[in-house]
Amino acid sequence: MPEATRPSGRIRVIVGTDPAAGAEILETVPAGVQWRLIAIHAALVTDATVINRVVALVLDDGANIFLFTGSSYIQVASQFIHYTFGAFSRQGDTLVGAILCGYPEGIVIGPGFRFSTVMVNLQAGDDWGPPIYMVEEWPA
Amino acid sequence: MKLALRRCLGCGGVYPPVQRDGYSYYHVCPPLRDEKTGVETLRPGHRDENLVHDSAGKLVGIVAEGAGSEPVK
Repeated sequence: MPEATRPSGRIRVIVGTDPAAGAEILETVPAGVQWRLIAIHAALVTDATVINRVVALVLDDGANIFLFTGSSYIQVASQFIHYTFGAFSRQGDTLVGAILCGYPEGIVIGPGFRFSTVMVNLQAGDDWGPPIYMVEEWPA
Repeated sequence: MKLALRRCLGCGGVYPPVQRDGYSYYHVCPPLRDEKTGVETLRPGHRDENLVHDSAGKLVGIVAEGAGSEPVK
């Protein structure tokens, strides 16, 4: 349905799966609904391994990647950083350990579509907290 | 309100099967990704809690039971 004629959906804040250490975040749109992604937040604590990590966010339809965006921040060993993805016009870091990463506004994803993190140099002890994301939800 | 949590025995992820707004959450294990090629494979014990209905609309189960899950105490 064109956005101009689509009725307002339900605003939801969803707590996703807290991955085990060394695993990426991956969330799947369940059957029967579609989501407009408003914001996605997750925190990453890195282990003591001295190597540079870079965080990216990937959207796909279950197989085919159609959006790949990421941070320009290099997270080093033993750091705790908040990452927030949203339709921001700016990207950057702040003085409080928070990184903003942008993606295009108005992205609507349907059943089976996924968003996930992809990290450069993910280490076995690097640990994401649970993603917490705000969506506008409609029946699919 | 504290959310009741479950741990997936396939990937080790911890998740609330019921959200604060009362709606269900359907856990799916993240795949294993080859860093060089980007190719994804399902991890051993892959679990997918999305619901499956038959042609009559009757609930028949979840997509993949995998290694199961357990409550987090």
